[in-house]
Amino acid sequence: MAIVVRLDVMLALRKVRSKDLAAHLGITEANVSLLKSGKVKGVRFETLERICEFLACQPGDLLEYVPDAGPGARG
Amino acid sequence: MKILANTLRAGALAAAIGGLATAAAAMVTPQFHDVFGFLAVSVDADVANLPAWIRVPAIAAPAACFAYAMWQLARLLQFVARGEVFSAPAAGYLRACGLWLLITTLTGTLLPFVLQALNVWLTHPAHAEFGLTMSSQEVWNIFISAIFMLVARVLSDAYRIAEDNRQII
Repeated sequence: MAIVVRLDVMLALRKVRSKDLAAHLGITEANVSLLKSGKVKGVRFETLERICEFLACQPGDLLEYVPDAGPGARG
Repeated sequence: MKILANTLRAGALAAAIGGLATAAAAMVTPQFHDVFGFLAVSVDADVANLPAWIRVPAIAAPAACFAYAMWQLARLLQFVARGEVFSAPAAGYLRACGLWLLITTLTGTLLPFVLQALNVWLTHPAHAEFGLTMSSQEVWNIFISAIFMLVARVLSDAYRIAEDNRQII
């Protein structure tokens, strides 16, 4: 996946627990966990806005584009 | 919703059992349609007077297909009663129900024709002339089956969209 979620890094930097973020977003901890691991198909702007508000960060701090390694990049 | 689904489920199971019982009675009693005329809606008078080797499969095959279609409908309604309308199994059962209703209609129309044609061809090959007729009721049944299959397709798409939506946080 070319888009990497850095939510776990931001949570560690801000010393915020997943449980507190989940409570602020109004979603379950399981969904926060899925979001942290990047195992979701998408993030709503509304969710992103609330995460940025809670962690006092920018969307770019949470998401990073990492190009997939092409066939030529292997061995 | 749950009460309605469970009531319809009981109706589907009753229809499956009733269909099989009616077919069994019609196979045992060739003049069944005269005795229990109001029940023997699916037993053609022409088929009832034919030899057993034609009558039995011509009655049993559509009845079995119809019972299986009703069984699939009952399983679908079980999911609906649980509130799992937009699920892959529910869409699968609805599709299977439509398909087996279609097979029921086609079997009920084509199988007696094929068997009777075979009978004529075996007994009077020189005078073998065949004609296939389809009643408006059978055309209507095919239409209903196609509608069931289309709704199943819509349900399947709805499930996919709901699943996609569930994975967007």
